[in-house]
Amino acid sequence: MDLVTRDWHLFSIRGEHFLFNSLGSLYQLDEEARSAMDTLYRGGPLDISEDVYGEIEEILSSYKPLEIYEPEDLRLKSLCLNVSHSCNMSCSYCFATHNLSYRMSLMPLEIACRAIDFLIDSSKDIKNIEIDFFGGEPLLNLEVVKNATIYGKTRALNSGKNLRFTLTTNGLLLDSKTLDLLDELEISIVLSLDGGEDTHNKFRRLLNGGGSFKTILPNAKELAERRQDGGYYIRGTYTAETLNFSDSFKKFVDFGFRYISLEPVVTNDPKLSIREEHLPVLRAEYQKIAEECLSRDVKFFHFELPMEEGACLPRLARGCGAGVEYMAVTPSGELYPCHQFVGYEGFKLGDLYTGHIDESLRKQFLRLNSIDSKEACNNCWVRYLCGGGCLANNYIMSKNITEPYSTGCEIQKMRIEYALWLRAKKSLEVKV
Amino acid sequence: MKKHIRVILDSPIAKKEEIEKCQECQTPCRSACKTSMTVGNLVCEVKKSVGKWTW
Repeated sequence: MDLVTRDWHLFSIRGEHFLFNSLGSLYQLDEEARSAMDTLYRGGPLDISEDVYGEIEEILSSYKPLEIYEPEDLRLKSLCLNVSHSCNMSCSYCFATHNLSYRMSLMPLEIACRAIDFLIDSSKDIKNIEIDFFGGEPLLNLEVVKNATIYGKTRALNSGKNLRFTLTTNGLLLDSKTLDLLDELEISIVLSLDGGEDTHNKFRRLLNGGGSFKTILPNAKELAERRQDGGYYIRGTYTAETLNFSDSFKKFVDFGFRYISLEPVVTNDPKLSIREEHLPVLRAEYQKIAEECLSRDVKFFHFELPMEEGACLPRLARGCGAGVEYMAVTPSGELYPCHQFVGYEGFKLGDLYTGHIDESLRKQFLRLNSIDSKEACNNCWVRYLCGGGCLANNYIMSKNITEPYSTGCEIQKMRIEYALWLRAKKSLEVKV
Repeated sequence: MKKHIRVILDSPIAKKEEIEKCQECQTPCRSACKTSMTVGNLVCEVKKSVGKWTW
């Protein structure tokens, strides 16, 4: 009996044992089957009962690797518009700090409209496309957000496109009147909040150094109250100094938030950076969140794995689309592979004024978007749920976009294990 | 006879209907995660409710 280890993953959570294969099968194993699988993994001789042997042989032989359709090229389908490189906060871990207030700080409407034209034209036969208003703080340029959205909706209607909008905000200016407008314009919202007052104010500070929590919380609560069926995420960042992020999750649930995401900071700052030695603590934190998700009606972004309704295999075998399907636009109309590459001159893809695109750089990103191009990913069990990691994170951590950020990989695997565990628990609840 | 292995998910990715050359699914690094893209969180665009403006 042969086991191709890159296609199978054996893991245990709270004394329960599971086996996952890369095409999405999930099995629960008793101790005898787990022990046998563990022996197979280590290449040792099997000394097990016939019935266990038969069951293992049956599932291993049922797995047939598939040939994956890989398109020769990809269309642009999503643009991140940095409508403001100014910000009304000064968060100490912000990856965009080097962009703020450099060159033109607010995007003029003309650039925003030109970007929308570029997206609609470049997407060609793709129907579903997206715009994300980002920054800096995009609500500092609300008039352009409003008029660009109206322009985009009209252009999309006339072009037969389904154009969706998202806005990522620190929430300071998200008052009732602004929410009215964003509701009317049907713009999904991501609001940054790190946790309770102490956790949030530790890094997310106002320009005068004061805490921002007390201003933002009522706005976040109103957002959640209005959008009980979705259309928002409360998104927090955890760091080496705020590793107890399950407490933040519980606070969010108590505040009435239903759609929650908590992310590790990606930085080289030794005080804040998540390191390998933190992984056991993170595992315990993710486990607490998973347990909370079992009993509460909330959605934690990374535990949402729509296996049956999710993307098909050709999509799952590709990465984030940076530089090809996805680009970021600066206030002055420069194009970068994604929002995290903005400001790194070596990664400037082109600009909207001349329409010039650096095809050599674009093709480099096209190649890196394929799982097959990365040896480490190609041999990893989680490749079709991860997509190959974040190229920008690789660059931030090692100045090399092709070198995987290994701690990030371990966090990804951990989250997927808990997502699968949750899936198993919920599936068994339904069967009972 | 007691089973040692219970099936929870049976190859959902392999069994999923593939719409050849569809390419409609969005880029996974959406605002909800902005620092960590995850293709496994995507929902098939073709199966989404028509006209739905949220994710």
